[in-house]
Amino acid sequence: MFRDALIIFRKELKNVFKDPRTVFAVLLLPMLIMPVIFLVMNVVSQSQAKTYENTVYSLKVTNLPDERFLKILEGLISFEIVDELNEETVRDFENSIVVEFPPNSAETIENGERIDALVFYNSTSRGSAYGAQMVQNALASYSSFLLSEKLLEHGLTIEDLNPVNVEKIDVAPEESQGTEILATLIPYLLLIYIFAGAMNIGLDTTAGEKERGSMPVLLVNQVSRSSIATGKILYVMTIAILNSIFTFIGLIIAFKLGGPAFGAENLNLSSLSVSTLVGLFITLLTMSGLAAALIVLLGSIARNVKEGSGYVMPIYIMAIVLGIATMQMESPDNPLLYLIPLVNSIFVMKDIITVNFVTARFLLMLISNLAYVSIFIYFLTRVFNSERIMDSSGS
Amino acid sequence: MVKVERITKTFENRRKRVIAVDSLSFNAEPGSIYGLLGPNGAGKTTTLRIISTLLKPDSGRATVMGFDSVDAPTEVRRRIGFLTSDMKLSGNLTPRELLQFYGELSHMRESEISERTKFLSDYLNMNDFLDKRIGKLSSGMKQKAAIAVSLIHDPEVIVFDEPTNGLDIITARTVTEFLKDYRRKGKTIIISTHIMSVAEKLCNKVGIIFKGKLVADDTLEGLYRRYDESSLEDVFFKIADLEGVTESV
Repeated sequence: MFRDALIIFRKELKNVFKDPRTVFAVLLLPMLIMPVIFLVMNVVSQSQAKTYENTVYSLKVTNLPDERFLKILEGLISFEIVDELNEETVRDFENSIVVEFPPNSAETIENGERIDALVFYNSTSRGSAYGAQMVQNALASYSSFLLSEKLLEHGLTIEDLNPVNVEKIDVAPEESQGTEILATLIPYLLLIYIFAGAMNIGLDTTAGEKERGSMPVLLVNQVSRSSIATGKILYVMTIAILNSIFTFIGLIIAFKLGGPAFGAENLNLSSLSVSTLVGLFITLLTMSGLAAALIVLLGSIARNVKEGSGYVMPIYIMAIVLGIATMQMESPDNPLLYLIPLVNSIFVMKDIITVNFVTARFLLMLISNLAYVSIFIYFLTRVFNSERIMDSSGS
Repeated sequence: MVKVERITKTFENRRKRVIAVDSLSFNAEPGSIYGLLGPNGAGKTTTLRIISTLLKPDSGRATVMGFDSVDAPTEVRRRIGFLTSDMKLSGNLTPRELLQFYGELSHMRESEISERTKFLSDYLNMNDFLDKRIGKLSSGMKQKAAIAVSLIHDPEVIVFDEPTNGLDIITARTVTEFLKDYRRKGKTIIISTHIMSVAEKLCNKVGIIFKGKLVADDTLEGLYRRYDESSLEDVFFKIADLEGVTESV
């Protein structure tokens, strides 16, 4: 029986890999998409930062207490004073900011009292928002400067105001440090790409074959229906795995290219050792088997691809929601949770990536996923043995 | 030898229950072509699908060389080549690769598959497109490839639903010649058609089917004699008249 399933599996793979568009969609696209997104975001953010730095901002300052504030601001942005500006017209001028100090602010400061500075800007103009942020930074520096002056008069420094110096020390094993972002993103993305990869292929090989009229050619052959079911699941599972592996590679390349620019400066890619990768692969294998079996089952029940999409889409959305919901969660201790399909794989992947591998959880995930796949194969064989598999009439 | 004994098949949906085949019986002998003749929706395709194990009858039985289509479907499938004009080959594989695939599924040896591929390719004039992708072939070429696929395991029984439906005149001729040739080889052939000229040209025996019931089952000569007509079309409409179904034909 398994020999026949392998023959069907090989034929389906051969068929799909002879189509350059599918090869691009299944292998190249998932590998390229994340690096390209990271690169584009990097280039765009750098070029925007450069644009803001080179912009000459329009500025109006009322009741300036001290020329030193403008000196500090000059160190951060280029600006010209525009007298026509006020809090009303700030939205009409591009890249403009109005800073309003209270009347007699210099005397107020001199008397050791606190003043309020109002910064008017247009939040819908990114240039104005950036300029306002720089003004705010300049005000903070000016404030620190005034504070230092005051403290000096009393023989103190700013450090004297912070008697306790705090330093955080990470005592996690060295190999686990810097893996949080990987544990957050990788299970989610792999889950999404497994379903995305399995969905189109799984529906095409079942409901699509019904629509095209090519299913009966296979059904009148002497091969057993369970072999057809197993062969199709193996095929969809392989495509789903390839899709997710290439997504994984793409993600690692993306982190290498632009990780630090997106707050992943402490990323520890060396945690992805051979044993970690093997663990991830086994988890992927069972998770994609589950997705493939479920999608092939639903595709076989459906009379056409449109109906099949209607059955599969809610499951895909549920997988996305599950992925997002568990993104920030740590792996729980409750063993029952490792019997829940998909959830179990996400938590086990988190364990593996953060080098907190727990054998019992892994085995629970493995056994339960295999049980689910077996149940789906059983029902799929029943569908293939029923007349429903021939039903390709419209909805 | 194919024996169909009082098979009945109904289809149900939420709205209604339709009797597609109603207690239908006939025999098809080796070295002959049996034609099921009837208007669209008469139950011809359902009957052929029951013989080919794709559908199960509600009652009655169909046997192929002694094997019951419900109790021993694998044995039946091993012995039949089933083809319908609705059945399409698609994808990126070539006819040669598809023949290899279906040969492997029929558990044929590599050398057998190669020999049979060469034979069918020569026989059906497929050498020019044997290594071209199915998706790029014309409908006639695809039909020839589909015939080759259904014959790769050299079946004893050929079940062919509407063999010339939608084919151009040259491919239709290839198909009818192939059916005649396979009859000469002693194979049992069952076809369904609503084209009288096809039935007259090919069939040794004809079963006329209306609303799921077989209303006549005889040789062409027998039918002409019994209904005192000289063409199958006239016989067909005479029977339709007698059965009171002329308007639905």
